[in-house]
Amino acid sequence: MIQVERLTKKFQTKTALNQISVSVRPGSVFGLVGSNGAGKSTLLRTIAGIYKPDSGTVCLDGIPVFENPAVKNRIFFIPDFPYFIPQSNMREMAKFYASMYSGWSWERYRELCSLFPIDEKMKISGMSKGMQRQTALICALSACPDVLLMDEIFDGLDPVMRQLLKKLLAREVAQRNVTVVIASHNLRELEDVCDHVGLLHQGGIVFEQELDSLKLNLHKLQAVFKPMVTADVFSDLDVLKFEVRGSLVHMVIRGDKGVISRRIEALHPVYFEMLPLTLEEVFISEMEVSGYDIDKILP
Amino acid sequence: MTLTKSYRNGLRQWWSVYIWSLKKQSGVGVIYLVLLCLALPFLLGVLLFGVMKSQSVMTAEKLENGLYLLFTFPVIPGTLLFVFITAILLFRFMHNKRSTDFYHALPVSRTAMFFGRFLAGFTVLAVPMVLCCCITAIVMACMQNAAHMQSAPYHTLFLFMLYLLAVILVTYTFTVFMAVCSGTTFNAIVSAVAVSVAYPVFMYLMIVMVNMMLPGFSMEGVTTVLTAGSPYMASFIPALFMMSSQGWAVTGADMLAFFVWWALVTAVLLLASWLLYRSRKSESAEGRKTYPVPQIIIRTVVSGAVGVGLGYILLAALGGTVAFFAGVIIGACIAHVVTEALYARGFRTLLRSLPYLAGFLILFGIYYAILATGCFGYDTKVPLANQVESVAVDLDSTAPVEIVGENGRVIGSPVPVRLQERASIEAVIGWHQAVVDGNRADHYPYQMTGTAHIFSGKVTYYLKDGSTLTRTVESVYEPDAADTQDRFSKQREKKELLLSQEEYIRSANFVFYTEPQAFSSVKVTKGNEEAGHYVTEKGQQEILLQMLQQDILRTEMNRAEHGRADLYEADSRIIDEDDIVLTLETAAFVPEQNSPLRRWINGYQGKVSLTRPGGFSYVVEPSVFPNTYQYLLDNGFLA
Repeated sequence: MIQVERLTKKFQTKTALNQISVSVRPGSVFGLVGSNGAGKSTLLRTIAGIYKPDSGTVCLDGIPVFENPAVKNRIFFIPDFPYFIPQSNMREMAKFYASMYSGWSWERYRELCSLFPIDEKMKISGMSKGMQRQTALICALSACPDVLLMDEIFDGLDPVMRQLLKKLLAREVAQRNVTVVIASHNLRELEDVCDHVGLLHQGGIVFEQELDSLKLNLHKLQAVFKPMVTADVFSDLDVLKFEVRGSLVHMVIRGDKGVISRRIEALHPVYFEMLPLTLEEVFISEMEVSGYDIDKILP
Repeated sequence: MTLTKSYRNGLRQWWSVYIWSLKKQSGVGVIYLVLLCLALPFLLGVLLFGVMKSQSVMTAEKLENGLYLLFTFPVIPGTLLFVFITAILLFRFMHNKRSTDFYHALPVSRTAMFFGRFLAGFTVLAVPMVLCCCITAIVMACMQNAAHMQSAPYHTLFLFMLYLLAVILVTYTFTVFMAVCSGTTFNAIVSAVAVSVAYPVFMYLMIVMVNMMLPGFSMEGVTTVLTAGSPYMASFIPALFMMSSQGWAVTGADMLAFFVWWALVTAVLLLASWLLYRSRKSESAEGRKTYPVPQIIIRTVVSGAVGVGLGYILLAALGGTVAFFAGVIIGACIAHVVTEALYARGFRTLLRSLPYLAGFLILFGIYYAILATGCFGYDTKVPLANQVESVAVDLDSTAPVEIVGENGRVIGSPVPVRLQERASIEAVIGWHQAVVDGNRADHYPYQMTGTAHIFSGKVTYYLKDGSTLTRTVESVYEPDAADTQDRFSKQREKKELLLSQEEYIRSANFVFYTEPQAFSSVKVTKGNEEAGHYVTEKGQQEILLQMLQQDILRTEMNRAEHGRADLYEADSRIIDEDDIVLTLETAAFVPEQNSPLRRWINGYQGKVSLTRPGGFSYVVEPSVFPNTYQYLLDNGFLA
């Protein structure tokens, strides 16, 4: 289990992470979402043992990660811009990682090479962004880590490769109980693979929840009332968003679906419909609550 | 909790990093080896082939001289260049965020990462050096065989190889330290270059300032101090020392201090680099100031070098202490701004850095004040006679005789003259004290302008408590003052007393410590015309030396009583047409086991010869050299 407790990380005067606490269970796929500069990459790098916490702890199964090769041997980190040894090809990178990670599997490497359309003797510097990511993925999965940390992994991958990646991750989780943490702005893709989601904003964690319960607890509602109602009418509900477009009222409400339905029906709407929210809509709603609202950025 | 995987222990981690780093740097190593082979065995072969082709006799000495030349010029600079490149290539990973993330995410401890890379770099540099020296040894063996030489200087080659390996270790560690302390590769390069250039310049200018202001200052050990913060510059010092004077077998105090200092510096820099790397934050990659202290020191040294340099320029151009200080302030400010802009890529942190500039200027002012006031009594320190065990004196009037070995290099010198008798010690102290008193009475506090120093000699007191005290004896004077000559009369009187001491005369004069076999022939000239050239026999040489000793001893001992003795060394006076000049022509010889010369040649067993710029020629006036004159007359040398 990844345990982050009261983690603070500062870069000179800027506080990138402020007293963050989060846990990721073994075998779960954790999606890390948040605004730009929220601290997602910093959190991933701290979990990977690259950054030393200024305060708080980051542990894997109770053991601090930083400067602990035994623990880092179980973690593989793919950054947003993967780095490769200059002038190397994938085969050389594989040899390099094989000499570093005790869990490296050449069998898995060969299998992955057959799945991804990569020439292992081609210089990596000559590859496209997507191919470089595939190379990083092959190396990461061949190292057989217990924890896989990935930053913006979907960037540059074509739809087929994204599907392949999702399948491979699902297999890793199912077969080896791998813990996966993915930081991404691609919420559509995250929605497909994640079972947990954490939302970061301005160095703090807004929420951390199971994706299903998160989605079940947030509802998008469209209704037509005659006469028209105001937001005050729903003051007893946790309304995250209230918007009137013509005669149609759009709302995002947090709470139990049955309670909300009964409350709306009591107002005798002409028409009303409750829809599940996509992760992107959840993200936008929660960020608006935190003050990160497009209307405030571009009035 | 149990780990689900076994992990590689520290040694395995280190080995993985070492092998990978070695593999990535092997190209540099191969290029280095090829260039080394071109610079050393190939060029040596060409040089030796040239010697043999010109039908000169090939000797071990010529071979050794070729080695000195090649090691000092192409090999050392080339090696330093590769050291710099290798260190930067191996440690620049921490100057880039992406590569830092990559390497610091690996299951490798910082210690294994540091030492794996460090030793890989050293291997890449050391192995070609050792291989190249082995190839050179083979070339030398071929030459030895072809030229039918009895021996070849393998020992010198081996010592040079060890020295070069030490140079590689020191400079490599220094560059790695700079890389660890810097956020960017550019800053690391700027720091390494700035220290290498600015430190010796700064120290030289500061020492010149001491020399200009503080009477009595001894430059002993200055070579080490000048390069003590610049390993790249210091790398040339021993090689130049070996070429110019003594040789591997003889090491001066400077050389001992040099090696001890650099051994310490290497150990400290390596330890500091490791500890700093361990605590270095990954996020400091591409940052301006990772560890600010080295940059502050470097900036101060650069500011100091430029400031004091400009101070000297204004002093020379405009004269006066005010011009000097104006130059120091202007130069230091300009250098500070430029250095800060380079390090910080702009002027954002300039204001915050100004206190360091102010601190330097205040310290410089204090430094000037300390020199002006005699440096806490440095200028007046003269021991009491009962504290002194012996004293070594090197006077400006002492003939610089040198003892040269078979390979043509100087292996020793009778200078300075070591005196142990109480009367001699008192005479030295009396003379030294007279000069000190004169300086303090007339020119205190000392100034940079308006006065000059007349160097009279250098003394080293060996005290009974085991310590030594070295001072130059120099008189401060005002060139424009009318009474300059009169004010020195007391000092001259004291010096004459020293020169008339029998122990001094016997120790300082060639005729007392040479051996009859040192000169094979004598030449007698009258005026500028040769009157005779005679090959002397051993009995004649002995008697002639005795006559010269009697005459010189009497003449010199009388100088205190009767004023300055007549100048009798031919190169120190104008020769009249009636003057008879006796020249002793020296030849190489093996000194006797009980010879006084043995004191200065440090166990050297080969042939030596004595040299002096003006030769060993004496004007034999009958009144000054009655015994010698009579001997020459009686034995037909003046026929």
